[in-house]
Amino acid sequence: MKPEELKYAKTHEWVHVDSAEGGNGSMATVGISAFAVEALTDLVFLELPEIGKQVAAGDSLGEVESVKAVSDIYSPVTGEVVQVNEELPEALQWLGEDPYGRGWIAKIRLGDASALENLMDHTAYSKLCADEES
Amino acid sequence: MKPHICYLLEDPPLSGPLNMAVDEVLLESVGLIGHPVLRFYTWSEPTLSLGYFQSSEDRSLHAPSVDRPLVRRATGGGAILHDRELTYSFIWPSRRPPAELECDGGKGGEKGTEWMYRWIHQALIDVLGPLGVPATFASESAGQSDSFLCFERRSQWDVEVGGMKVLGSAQRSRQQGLLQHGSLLLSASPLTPQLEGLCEQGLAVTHQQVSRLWATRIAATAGLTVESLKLDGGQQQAVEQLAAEKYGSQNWTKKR
Repeated sequence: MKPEELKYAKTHEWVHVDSAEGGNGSMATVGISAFAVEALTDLVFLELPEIGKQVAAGDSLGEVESVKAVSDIYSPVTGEVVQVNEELPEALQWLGEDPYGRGWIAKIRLGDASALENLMDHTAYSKLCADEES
Repeated sequence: MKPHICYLLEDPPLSGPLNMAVDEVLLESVGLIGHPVLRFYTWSEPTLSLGYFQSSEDRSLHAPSVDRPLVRRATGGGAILHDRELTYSFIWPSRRPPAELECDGGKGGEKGTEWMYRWIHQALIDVLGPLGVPATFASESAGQSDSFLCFERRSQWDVEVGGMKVLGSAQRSRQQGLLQHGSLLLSASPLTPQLEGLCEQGLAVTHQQVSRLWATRIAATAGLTVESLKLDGGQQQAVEQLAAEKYGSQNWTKKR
């Protein structure tokens, strides 16, 4: 996926919405941005959400550990977790090498789609990252 | 609002679940408090704490502590046997450092939220020097990165005296702020005699002596004024509930 085509949360998760993939509803693929991966530095653990978990936008979707620091990954959307990238915890290098591809974390069948309206496009997200670096 | 106060909370010895619950309640409420909170505490009995991602079954790797209480931290890193130590927590209402740290011309080179390790640990190094104890940041090659015990590992921001790690810390990051807590070994525990503390390096200090000096130095680095803090009734109630329902529960302790 191209970063320019994704939506972003202010907590640095990215979302790709595919209305054709979700069957009864749109499907959102979620991961964490290259900016976030770089800020987290050396990742050593990742905990994925359970399949079937209902999440609201802003809920914890998973957790990562780097340099003895545990951080939450927040869900940018509301819906049901229907698939997780089960290989990822054993291949954390994918988060750095291919954060918008093999580094995807979960697929969520969208419930309330209104949370999508709060997400940023790539231009706005790039500005947020620049502001955080300054 | 730019923080200008460093609240100081000094607790009596508490159980593992209560100690961890106080830290989490402070992290949850730091956004409302609006200023950082520095807490010093000890443990009512020798207690083993696990890093968040460690397996509870791995406690068998440390035989001397298998019959001691066990608690899982919300922070990363390795297991700690909390006995003859001073434990601190520092809760900052943001993931960004204060301006004083961003332009202090110090050692630098830290990534992400490592700035807090450098701040708090450098403050201890600054306190120990005038007491005749030359402390330094650790040599990462000195420890085993996969050891069960935190104090047998080394990372860049750990503090060493005479080649022994005396201070190690870990973090939990949330949207409302950043929690860092850590252990300063005052002397070796009979349960971990191989891990020497300040006493074995020739410095016999009480935790009250070192905590006052350390708090003053931490605050001064960022231009903060130290003021004492006590938890209010609602916070105390939240602590007791969290200790009972989360940190004292088997679901949490044995979640992996």
